Order: sequence, then C-alpha cells, then structure tokens
Amino acid sequence: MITLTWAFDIFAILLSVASFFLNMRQAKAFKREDDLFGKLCLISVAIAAFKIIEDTITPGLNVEELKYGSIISGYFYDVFDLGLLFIWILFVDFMIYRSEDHLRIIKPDILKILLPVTAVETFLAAAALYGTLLLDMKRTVPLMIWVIVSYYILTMIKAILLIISIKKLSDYRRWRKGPVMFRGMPFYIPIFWGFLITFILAYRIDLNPLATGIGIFLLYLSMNAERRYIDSETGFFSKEYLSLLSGTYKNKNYEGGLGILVSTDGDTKVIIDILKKSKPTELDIIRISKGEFFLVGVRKPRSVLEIFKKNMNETAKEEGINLSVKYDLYGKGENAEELFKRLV
Amino acid sequence: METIEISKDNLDKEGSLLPPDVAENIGRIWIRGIVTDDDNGDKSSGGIVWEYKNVDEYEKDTVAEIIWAFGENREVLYDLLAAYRIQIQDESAVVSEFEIPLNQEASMLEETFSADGFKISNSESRDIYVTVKDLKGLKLGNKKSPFYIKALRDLSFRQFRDGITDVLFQDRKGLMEDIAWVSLDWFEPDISSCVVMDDIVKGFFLIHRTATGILVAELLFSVDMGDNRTVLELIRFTLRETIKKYSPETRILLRRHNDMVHSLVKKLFPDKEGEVVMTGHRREKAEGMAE
Repeated sequence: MITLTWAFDIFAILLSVASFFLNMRQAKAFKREDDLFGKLCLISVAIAAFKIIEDTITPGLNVEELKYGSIISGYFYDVFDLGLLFIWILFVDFMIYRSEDHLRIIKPDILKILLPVTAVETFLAAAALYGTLLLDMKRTVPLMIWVIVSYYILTMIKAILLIISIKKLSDYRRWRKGPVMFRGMPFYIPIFWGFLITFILAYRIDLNPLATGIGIFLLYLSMNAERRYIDSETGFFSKEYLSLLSGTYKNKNYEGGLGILVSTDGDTKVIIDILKKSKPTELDIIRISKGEFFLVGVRKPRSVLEIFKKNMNETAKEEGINLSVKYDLYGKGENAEELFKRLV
Repeated sequence: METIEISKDNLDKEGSLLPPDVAENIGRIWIRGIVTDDDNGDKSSGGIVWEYKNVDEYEKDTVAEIIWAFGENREVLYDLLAAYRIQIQDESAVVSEFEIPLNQEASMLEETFSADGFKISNSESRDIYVTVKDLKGLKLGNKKSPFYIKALRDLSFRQFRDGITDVLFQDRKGLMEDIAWVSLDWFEPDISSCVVMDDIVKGFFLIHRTATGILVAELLFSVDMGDNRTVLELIRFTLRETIKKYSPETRILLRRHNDMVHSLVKKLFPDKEGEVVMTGHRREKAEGMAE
C-alpha cells in the first residue's frame, strides 16, 4: 500500500530524475564538461532510493516521532521550509534580473508580512521543542495542540501570500526577457527542482535546517556553473557566449542576422545603464570587454539600425560620454564571431 | 497648367484645397502631394496626396496609397494622375491603391481613375468611426490601472525614442510608416498610454488628434502582443482618459489594418460597420506606366 511517506519518496525520485535529465539536456546544449549539478541530482536520487529501502525495513510511526509532535505538525513544518525556499527563489530571481521593479512587486508581501510570519513560526517551533524536551506529557499535549493550530493558520496565510506574490511575479515576468539560456527555459528552473528535491528529502530525514543549507549550497553551485556565460556585473552575456553562438550551438534565429558593436572609453557604468534602458527587446547584448558590447539579433533593415545608432549617439552625447557604434548584417555564411571581428 | 509638389514650405500658399486632416500630414517623411494651378496660376484646381508604404521592407512591394484626390474637372485629374505616375517612380512604387468616400466627386474620380488603369470597386471601408459616447457603453470596470501603465505625458523624450526603436525592431509601425521620425507631440499626451517597467517602455497605445478633432488610434504595441491582459490594460487606460477628456460627440477613427485590430474592433463594437467606399488598385510598371 502506498502511504504518504512512500508518495513523497517516489515524488522525490521522480523530481530528481527529471531534474537530472533537464540538466543533462542543458549541459549538452552548451557542451559543458562539468555537470556538477547533474551529479548532485543523481546523489539526490540515490538518497531518496535509500530512504525507501529504509522505510521498507522500519515501517510506521515510532515513539521518537511522537516525541516531536504529530506527523501533520511535521508536514506543516516542512511547508514552513518551503516558504523559505520560495523566498530564496524570488530573491535569486531578483539577483538574476537585477530588477528594481521586480523587487518592488514582491517586497510588500515578502518583507512586510511573510518574514514576520516566518519569524513567529520559528518561535512556535522553539516553543514546541521546549515543550517536548522539558515538560511532561500532560502539559506537552495541550501545548502541542496550540502549536499545531497556530501552524495551520500561519501556513495558510503564508500559502496565500506566496500565491499572490508568484502571481504578481508571473505578470511581471512577461515583460522581462533576461538571458534565456536553455532553449527558452529560464535557467533557475533546475535550481528550483534541486530545492524541491532537497526539501522533500529533508522531510524524510527530518533535517530541515540542514536541508536549507544544502539547498542554498546547491543554488550557489548551480549559479557558478552558469556564470561563465553571464557577465556578473551587468547580467549581459559574457564573451564566452559569443564563441558559443558561433560554435556548435547555433541559434537559428541569428542566421543571417545583425551585429551592432558599441564601444566606449568613457564611464562604463553610464554605457551599461544606457544599454539596459535603450536595448531593443529583440537584441541580446554580449559584453566583450570592459567598455565593448556586441548586440546580436535577427536581421532588420539598415534604416532601423541607423535609427538605433543615431539614438545611441544622441543619448551618449546627453550623458557626456564618447561612443562608437558600428553595425552590419551577417555576410553570406558568416557567424556572429566573424561579424564581430569584421566590425572591430 | 502647372503641377507643383507640395511641401511644408509652400503649404500655406499652395495647400488651400487640401482638407485640414490631409494638410497636417504634409511634411511627414513618406507623404507626398502635388497640386495643379489653374491656367492663371491663381489658385489650385486639384491635387493628389499619397503615402508610401513598405519602403524599407525587403520582402514587400512598395505601395503608394492615395489618401486624397480632387480635381475641378476631368482634365485636371488626368494631368494630376500623369504627374503622379512619374513621381511615384522616385520610390519605385510597384502598386498604387486608394480608398475614397462615396461623395459627390466620386463618380468623376471613378471615371478618371478607371480610365487611367485603376481597377475600381465599392466595398466596406476598413475605417470604423465611433464616438466617445460609444466608449461609455463599454464595460471598462473600475479597477485601477496597474502601476506599469502610464500616460504618454509621463514619458521622457528618451524613453519615447527608445520605445519607438523597440517598436521598429519588432517590425511594427501601426498606421505610421514614418513612426521612427514622428515627434512625441504628434500624439495626445493625456490619453495615449504606455507600459513602463524599470524605466523601459514596453508598450504603447498612441492616439493622434487630427486638425478637425478626430482621434485616430495610430499604434497599439506591446513587447508581448500575446499578453492580452496588458494590451487590454493599455486600451482600458486610454479609453477611460478619453471619456474624461473629450465630449461625447468626439469621433474616433479605428482603422482595421490587420487581423488583430479587426478582431479587437469587432469585439468592442460588434454593431459598427465601415461605410461603403470606393477602392482602387493598380499595378505599376518599372517605367511608370500602368500595367
């Protein structure tokens, strides 16, 4: 018979496997050699499998579990961790997109209400622990009932707030086309899967704080793995992406496309700000060097490129920096890197 | 009889025949006009104004669309058409077309244009006219517009310019072939709306008020046109502001120039139809001779 615990284990395995294959597909697209995240997902699969075997050998509730409250209480305690998970994801999302509007959307819900709710839950968890460790059973049970009811209420509030925040973010995300790394899939999705797996496993092995730590560590590793293609200062693509475009990973959208080289010897912060605000949605920006940026995209009429160049020059003049803007369309059979070399 | 090319510089002198809503377009980059003087050179006896379309588009033919034509008599019209045929070779127009109301000059225009090689027919106009009173009948709701929907007046010139560049890069232009060169003040600042996220413009609903006070929806654009909700928020904002600002009799022109606008107008105003107009079409030869 499949119990709730079994269902969680199976779910964890399926998520781990899915995450692993997703990550492998991404790694293949970029011809990466170091697929650390994929390996970690494989480890998650192994741990989940181990837990299923362990449960088979030692089934059912035991006295130790009762000592720390009921199974339902434990479940909602993990939902509390899930709340922390979402908070981290949302803030990571902000770090990726570096968007003030983004933070403005989620901040009222997260910071004003959700975090205090989480703080109260932490207090309740501490109270529960105190009750079970220091009080006798007669006084522990009423305390635990009070704790469980409070958990229910607070978790419901948090769930609703999370849903509202995510809904607002999904409205917002329609307007953001940040670096889309993996054939149209934002790259934080594998991170999310990793988190989810970790927390479901945490439920099984009752190591929630450790699970949080593992999750954050996984996040750090994943971000590092992708870092080579993203310029950390600007969020633009890095020079390595240019090689990628021109190499084995051919983005068909760029065939017969355009390239615009924007360079300055002035204040790079200014040019970065100009590019972030003036960049047409259709173009991707690759940072070649400190003050050199290469914009690539689908072919457009030269008159449109000329207008972009004129606008950039006018804006640079207004900002008091020197700017050079050169553009051209791909020649026959040419790739992005070859066009770039031609424009330099 | 002399044919004169009309421009912003001589509009006051030579453009007396032009209706105000046509005259205000003279000087725009893809608008051309010619008028003829009478034999004494005292006043214009006729004119044609047209707009070039698809000039920069590789895969589409350049079209010259006649937006106004008038002649005191057939001879004037024939002279104008002859001059027109030569002029349109400047931009290598491949096709000429027009849509003209069935007014009292229509039969003379039909006769002369038909004799000059145009295929003429009567059909429903692509233009729908509604009034501000009609807008009040729409269920716009009371919900406040999202924070990212703003009036055009709240944009800086740089934001507008960058937003228009984004429009061009997405191969959009609305009703305006020269959207890249049109100034911010061409549009109504209080009722035109835009989407602004992180100081970046990601959508427009631009309205122009003609010389005679007709409101024309010139461009509806969003970075993600599949996002119906945001497009509707743009429309909702503009419609609400229009109701606030203009009298119920104020006319609004909605040109159904593509399928999306067609569907939208049908949804908003299912009972409205375009009036019957005369349409004409002619394929031009390279040397300027009609086929």
